[in-house]
Amino acid sequence: MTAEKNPALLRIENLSKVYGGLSASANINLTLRADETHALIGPNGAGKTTLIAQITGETRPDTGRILLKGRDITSLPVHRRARLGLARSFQITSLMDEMRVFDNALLAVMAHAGSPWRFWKEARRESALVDAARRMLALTGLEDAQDAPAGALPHGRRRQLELALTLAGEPELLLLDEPMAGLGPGESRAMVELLKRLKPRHTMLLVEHDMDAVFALADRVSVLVAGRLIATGTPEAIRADERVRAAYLGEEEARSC
Amino acid sequence: MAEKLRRVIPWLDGAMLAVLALMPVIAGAAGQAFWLDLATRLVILAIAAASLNIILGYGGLVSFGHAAFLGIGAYAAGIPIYHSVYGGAEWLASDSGLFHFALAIGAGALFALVTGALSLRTRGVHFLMITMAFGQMVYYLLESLETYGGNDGLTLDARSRLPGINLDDPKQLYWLAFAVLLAVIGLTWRLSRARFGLALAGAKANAARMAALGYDTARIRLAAYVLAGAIAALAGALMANFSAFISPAMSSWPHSGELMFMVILGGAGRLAGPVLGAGLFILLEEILSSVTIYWHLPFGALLIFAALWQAGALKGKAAREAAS
Repeated sequence: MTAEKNPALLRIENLSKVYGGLSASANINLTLRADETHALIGPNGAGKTTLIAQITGETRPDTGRILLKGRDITSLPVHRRARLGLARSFQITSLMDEMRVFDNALLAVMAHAGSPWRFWKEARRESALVDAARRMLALTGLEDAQDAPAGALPHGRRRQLELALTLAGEPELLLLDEPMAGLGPGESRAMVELLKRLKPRHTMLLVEHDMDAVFALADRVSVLVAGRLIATGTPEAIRADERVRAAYLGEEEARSC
Repeated sequence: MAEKLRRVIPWLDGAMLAVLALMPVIAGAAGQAFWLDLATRLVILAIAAASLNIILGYGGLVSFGHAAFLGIGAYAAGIPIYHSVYGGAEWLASDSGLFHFALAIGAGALFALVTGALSLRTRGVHFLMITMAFGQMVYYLLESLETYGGNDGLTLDARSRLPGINLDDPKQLYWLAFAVLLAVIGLTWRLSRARFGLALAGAKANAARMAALGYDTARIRLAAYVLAGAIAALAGALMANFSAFISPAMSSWPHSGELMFMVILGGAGRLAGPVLGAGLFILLEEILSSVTIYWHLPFGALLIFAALWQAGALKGKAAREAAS
């Protein structure tokens, strides 16, 4: 895919964030093209989660800008960015645990179906909402668990619900923070297959430690080491990059032997 | 035992509401005007507790300054009454109950809007401390109003005048308060099942996830806070009419604590919980205070039991639902 055909969906310009002398993001420049799947890799503590948090709006950068579809979103709060088509899954599964699975789905649907400022009509009887929530649970295979509290689901199904919530609004940009975290080998393969199916419909920024998943899914890979982006390129180029090998891949491979 | 108690609770709710609905008749038949007094106080406290239940029970916001709204509402009725009787401040003087209640609701909502916008930036213990500080600010403000009795408060020489309702008649005052209580419970019932209530519950369960979904959780909470403040202030205006007396103590933090007791005792997030909680509070206060002046001690023990039981009850419910 070429840059001309695919304009920048997300553009990060000179982003810096310092935590008590530690540079979590050091002058990061990164462009996500529309429809690409872009993996962000790097050793633990490289600042991947901090970068994601700055894109979602949970953390404000010290300097630099973030542009979504050309619009400066650097100072927008989390929920406004979400409304502009930016959705995220959390590294640690984040659900409304004390609410039923169905109500979790209903809230995700409701977020993109008009205003929450309705005080009288019963939401669970709004057929448009209920139908959409049922469809969502059917797609993720969670319909049999819809009456259970989300907190009572086993881990794999919680990950599924998490992804379902993230996808509810047909977001243009998906930020996936370690979707394979804590999954067994079979579950990981299923997740890779699922993400492959989602690939054509969403632009994705994928933070992941599982290198098999990264090389199976990513169109481009960026490598973050100690807050710095040391390389961006195709998976093949990244694999061959000396600096990356030295800083990251070599170390991983050495550890895995 | 906990299971049995849980099954009994809906019956307790029903019995409580039935007794309250018949109270003017019961008190009249028994010739105990005092009972109606107790019941009126119970109902007004239940309105205030029901408003706290909206934010504490449904919204998960533990406010320790809710009595401030009672004080604001009481003075919003008491000050215009004072001037309509003794002159001065013509722009404020009025004996119209509609004006008093509207002023109470408006002042309560405005105070909630301003203080909520600040305090809702924090969560948990910080929110508790800030709401308590705002409550104490109201307390000291009311205490500084020398014209209206300062620390001693002010006896009202007239009550709010309403078309068709005479609040000097204890029965009519009672029916008005009871109707307001039913309306507040009805509103809470609709609200909790509407989109707004689901969003509020979502923000309580996981605010970060709700924001990532695109919800402005701060505004949703603020709206609940404003609604709760307006209702509590209305309860304050009713209380001023009931006791024909207003004082800064109505807004003090121990009073906020009592409202919290009622909500937790009755079951936070339960529709009829505040009524049960206010009922238990009034009963215990009457019974225990006649036995010992240290009646707060067994009361505190009961509160601890209720809080522990509810924490366990939540777990039991989740386990039951998972099993089914």
